[in-house]
Amino acid sequence: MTTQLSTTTGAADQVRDTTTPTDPGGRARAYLDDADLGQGLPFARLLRTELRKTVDTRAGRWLLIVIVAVTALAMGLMMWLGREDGADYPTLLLAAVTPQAVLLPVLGILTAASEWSQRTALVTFTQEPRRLRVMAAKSLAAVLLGLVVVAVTIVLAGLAHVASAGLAGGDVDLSLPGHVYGGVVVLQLIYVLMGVAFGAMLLNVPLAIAGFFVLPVLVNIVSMTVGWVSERAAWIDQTIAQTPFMALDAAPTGEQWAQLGVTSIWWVVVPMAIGLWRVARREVK
Amino acid sequence: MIQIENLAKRYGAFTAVDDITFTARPGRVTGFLGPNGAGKSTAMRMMCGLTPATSGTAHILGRPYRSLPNPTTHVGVMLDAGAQHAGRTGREVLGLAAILVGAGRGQVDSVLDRIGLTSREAERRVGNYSLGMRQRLGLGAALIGDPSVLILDEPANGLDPGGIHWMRELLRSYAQEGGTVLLSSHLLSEVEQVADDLVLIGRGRIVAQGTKEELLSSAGVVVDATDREALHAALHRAGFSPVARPRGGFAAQAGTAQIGELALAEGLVITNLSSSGGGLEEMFLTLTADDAREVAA
Ligand SMILES: Nc1ncnc2c1ncn2[C@@H]1O[C@H](COP(=O)(O)OP(=O)(O)O)[C@@H](O)[C@H]1O
Ligand SMILES: [Mg+2]
Repeated sequence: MTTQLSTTTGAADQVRDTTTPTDPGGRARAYLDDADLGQGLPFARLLRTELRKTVDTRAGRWLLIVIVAVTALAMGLMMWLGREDGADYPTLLLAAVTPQAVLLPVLGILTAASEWSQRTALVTFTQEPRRLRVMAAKSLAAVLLGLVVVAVTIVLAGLAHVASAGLAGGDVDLSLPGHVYGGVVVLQLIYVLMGVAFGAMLLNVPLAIAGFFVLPVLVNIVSMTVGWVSERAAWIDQTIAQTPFMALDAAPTGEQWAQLGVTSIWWVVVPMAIGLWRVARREVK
Repeated sequence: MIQIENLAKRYGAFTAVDDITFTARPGRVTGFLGPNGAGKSTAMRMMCGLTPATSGTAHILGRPYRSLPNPTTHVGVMLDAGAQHAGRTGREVLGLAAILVGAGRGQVDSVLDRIGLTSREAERRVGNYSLGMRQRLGLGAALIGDPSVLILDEPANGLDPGGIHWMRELLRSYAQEGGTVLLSSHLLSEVEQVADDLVLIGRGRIVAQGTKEELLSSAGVVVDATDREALHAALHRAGFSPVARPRGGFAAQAGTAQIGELALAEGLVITNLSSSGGGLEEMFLTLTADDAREVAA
């Protein structure tokens, strides 16, 4: 080994900055010393790439465009329906939130599963072999995008209300109980994470989308027909557990929060745990 | 440096990689050569921690791949040029790789320059790239972290003769700078001119390895004796560069008469002696033919 390294000077061995990338012998390295190891891949960089990956493909970009378009459409419809007296702010907001709850999870699914369908997992897990770290960055990226969508929606609903009230000559009223904001944020984040979890569990985009939409419907049918389940539906069926969080009149009770938490275990935590286990073990090829 | 020791991978009852051991050294290009299905890609995936090994170890720069901090700053990997999102532009693919290694925008431009993609081509989606362009892009992504080790699976696939020449020059100068290069191929002609060392694999097993000169010597013989250790020592002393063969005996660079004289002088009992004929080419063809027979049967 030493003979092959004989062209390497000690100094050249240390030089690895970009100023002298073609220094002869500069790459000659049999082993990495602790000094050469360098820092690990910072999580911020991983997060930055994962955020970018969600918007730099046609599929990702179209999804965001569809989310914006559907939001505009829902609010436009509400403004038209309320053209006489002006559309309420809460009505505008909740009109947009409902279709978003269908589309945001797809964002989560794409983030977690599309790399396996497109085979870029081969590249991603070569760049960061600590796979759960990649999944943490993906989950956080999806959550951040979900939060941005919610924030933009709140602002748009406010603007739409002001415009609608102005056109109809009605009063501007931007008041909304705090629990509704909390409910909207929590529900959308649960949906985004549920999307990530289903994506990771099935590792296939069409399959995950189908599973995401079919499974809750099946459970809903079961909870309506099977007595044992329907008695406990609010603890099992998340669509039922979530209903109080969109209500304007009363804040959710402690029991309703507990029901949301318990259903989230079945629908988010369990699929996520299975998904992470699969991602960590699966052969990437 | 890449050190592979007793690496094996079994899929159920099928052994894809069977106890392989070899080292790819700094400053040298190591060709990993074998017919389709020999286990090259599986072995390379195991080196990079993508496929769990059934047994054995793979160390890169003295460590398992998974324990390298920010591995792409040390190891440039291209396992499959086709594994890119069809909807991303070439520039974006390099941009993502650049963020992870902490390289700047300028680095992306200089890599584009180096792999010979024009800026107009770089703005196109990878889905519209030819296989050769994808190979160049994959190589660019591997190079962007300025690594000291390169692991490339069939990088010459789909390249035109000009592209193959370009890649050869690039890998050659990379090794001259001291880098370790491991590249696989199923075509002898692709690696013959660029590799310093060769590892031949067939049906998961290494059937021959050594420097290219050792393996290419067409005037070689295959020889075996009752006392293999003594034979090896004698061949070595005589300067016949013996290479151990997987099924016993040695390949040596000498004529049959020279071996006969050596055996007489050293008092060795020769049990097998034949001229190996076409050297590497013949060995490679035999390997491929073996597989073909297996399929036909
Ligand atoms: N998941 C798997 N299950 C069963 N056999 C596999 C699997 N992956 C690869 N193989 C087999 O392993 C062998 C080696 O494949 P590979 O490493 O791709 O060969 P090469 O790259 O040399 O052409 C092939 O026969 C292939 O069919
Ligand atoms: Mg292969």
